[in-house]
Amino acid sequence: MENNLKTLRGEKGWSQAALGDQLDISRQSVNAIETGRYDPSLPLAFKIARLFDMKIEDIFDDSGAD
Amino acid sequence: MKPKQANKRYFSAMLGSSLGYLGSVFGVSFLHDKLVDGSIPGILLSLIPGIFICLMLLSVWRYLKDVDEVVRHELIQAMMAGLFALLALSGGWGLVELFNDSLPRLPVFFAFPVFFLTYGLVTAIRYKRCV
Repeated sequence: MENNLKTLRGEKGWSQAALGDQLDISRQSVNAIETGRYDPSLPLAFKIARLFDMKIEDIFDDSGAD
Repeated sequence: MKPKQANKRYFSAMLGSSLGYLGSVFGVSFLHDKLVDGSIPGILLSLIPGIFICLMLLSVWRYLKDVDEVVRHELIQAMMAGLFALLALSGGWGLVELFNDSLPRLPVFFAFPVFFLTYGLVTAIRYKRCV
């Protein structure tokens, strides 16, 4: 699943560590999500969406998942 | 729990139980020679390092619950690799032992280091990809 988390984080001027702190996850975990190596669970996806004040589908794109 | 807190808790618990394990192995090795092989005190004494092994496993269990889902996913994958290495060794070599009486027997003790060495190695490799 693709996502634009890196772009959104860049717009806010946050580092991976700063984003990780706000989500209670490690910097390495932020990196894994940004690079698409890990697809977050629904609760974490909601947490990310709430942080950026966006909808989940505006951050994560599952169109290539099928 | 914050990732740094979880790591700190895990490493301090692991360090304590590892030191306890090493100390008890040396202590038991020293004292066991003075006891009769197979005696009740000898068996009870040799169980002591196992207590520290259980503490190590408990700290791994607690760490799995403390870390975030991404790290947990990576750790479980590494544990699966450790489990498969152990099953491959015990199944593969186990059959060789069954069919050949003259070959040396692999002590069951080695299950623990085989699992943890594979688990540690795979965790390190997978972690490097995340840095």
